[in-house]
Amino acid sequence: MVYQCVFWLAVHAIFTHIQFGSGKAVGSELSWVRTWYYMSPWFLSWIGVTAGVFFSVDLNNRIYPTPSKRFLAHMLWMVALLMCYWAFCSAARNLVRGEDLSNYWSIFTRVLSTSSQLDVLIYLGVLAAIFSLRFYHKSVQEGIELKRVQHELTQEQLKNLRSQLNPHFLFNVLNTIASLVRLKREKDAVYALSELSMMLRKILETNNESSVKIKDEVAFINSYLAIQKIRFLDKLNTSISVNTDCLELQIPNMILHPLVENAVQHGSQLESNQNPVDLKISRDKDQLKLVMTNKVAKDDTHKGFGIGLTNTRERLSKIYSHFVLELYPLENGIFETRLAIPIEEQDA
Amino acid sequence: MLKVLIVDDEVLARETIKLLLSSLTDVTHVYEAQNGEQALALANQHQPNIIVLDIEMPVMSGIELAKHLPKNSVLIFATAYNQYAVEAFNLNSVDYLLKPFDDDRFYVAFERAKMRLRDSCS
Repeated sequence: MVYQCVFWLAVHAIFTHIQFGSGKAVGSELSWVRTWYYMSPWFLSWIGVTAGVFFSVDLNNRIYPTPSKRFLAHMLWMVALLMCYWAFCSAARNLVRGEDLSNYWSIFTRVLSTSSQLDVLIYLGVLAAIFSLRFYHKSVQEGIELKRVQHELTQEQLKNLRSQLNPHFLFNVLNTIASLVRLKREKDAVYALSELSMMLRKILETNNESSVKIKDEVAFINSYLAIQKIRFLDKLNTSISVNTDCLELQIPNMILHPLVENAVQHGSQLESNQNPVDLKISRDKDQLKLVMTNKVAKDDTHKGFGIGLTNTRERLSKIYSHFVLELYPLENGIFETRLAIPIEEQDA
Repeated sequence: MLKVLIVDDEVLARETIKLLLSSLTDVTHVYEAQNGEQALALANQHQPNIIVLDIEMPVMSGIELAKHLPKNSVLIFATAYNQYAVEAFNLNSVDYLLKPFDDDRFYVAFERAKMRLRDSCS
């Protein structure tokens, strides 16, 4: 309402100025204020008409579902509002000039015959502007709603994916701890329990956080590897190398762990010992680069790309528009997984 | 006089079952295999009465292995996976232990295996 008042007052002022200038050029003695006053019925009445158009648009949208009926309703509203406008302005014109209403009909018919076409055009312009405004508001609202739904969906999916931290791993670790206790290796049991606690604490405490520092993700992976080395003894030969300039960078929560888990699963299932699980994390300008090297059985049915990597790819595609996750076969059953993700501005 | 074969890729899991078996006087021989291939070789060579086997193992899964083991051996599955239970019971197994399990649960399973052996002999 305030905006349309300001708009029509501005239009009124501009036309007053033009009229005042024209009058002055032909010797009129009307002051700017008097000119504004005389013209005010024709412009300020549009404030009421515009409010009526807003009302009619909302009403017609609610009442008439079909475009044809809505169009007809808008035409009828236009005729009604403009007739009121002309009737009111014809009377107001005389009143602001201090004249009586004896010539009302002649003024009214003169308005109809001279300025009605312009008024119809102005009305249609107002109607179009209101339609545009309503369309814009609706689009913005829909955009906000869509973003909210997408955000909720993504959060839910991330939550689900996080919850897929292999439950069998948990039961196997508990079994390993039970075995250590049975075998009187209490020190190892306590160590495995503390590492498992660190992992569970991270999963439970990070809850809905979408990103974590690399050093925290690596600490989680170290706990995981420590436990797996208790389980699989000399099956695995693990090493993690992280460049110091990467430690504080933020990455999506649990994005690296599935790659390591995948490598450990392959390595632990091999008959050979000392199977490498090497993780190297470095930074190349605005990209975070991860290289995972591990050994895979020759007859591996997963073709090197397990469910962990598939989930990781799905997660990455939800988070980044551009990323690289590729698998390269090297020699002797060694595979290299390369991951490159952009480093966000706030991380730099 | 029972011969038992333990099949598990984790040393600790094998040692635990060995420990549990050590208190049973009727178990005279215990064999260990860390994968399906080794298990098949040992099973064919020694004809164990009872086989305690894991499911997720290198080379060959426990379910796949069970299909190739001698039919006169009684099977006890011991795994962290619960989704193979139905398949396991269709493969001549007498019990399905979910890791981690306590000692009593293991001995219940072992008793069932012995009962099955007795039933098959009589």
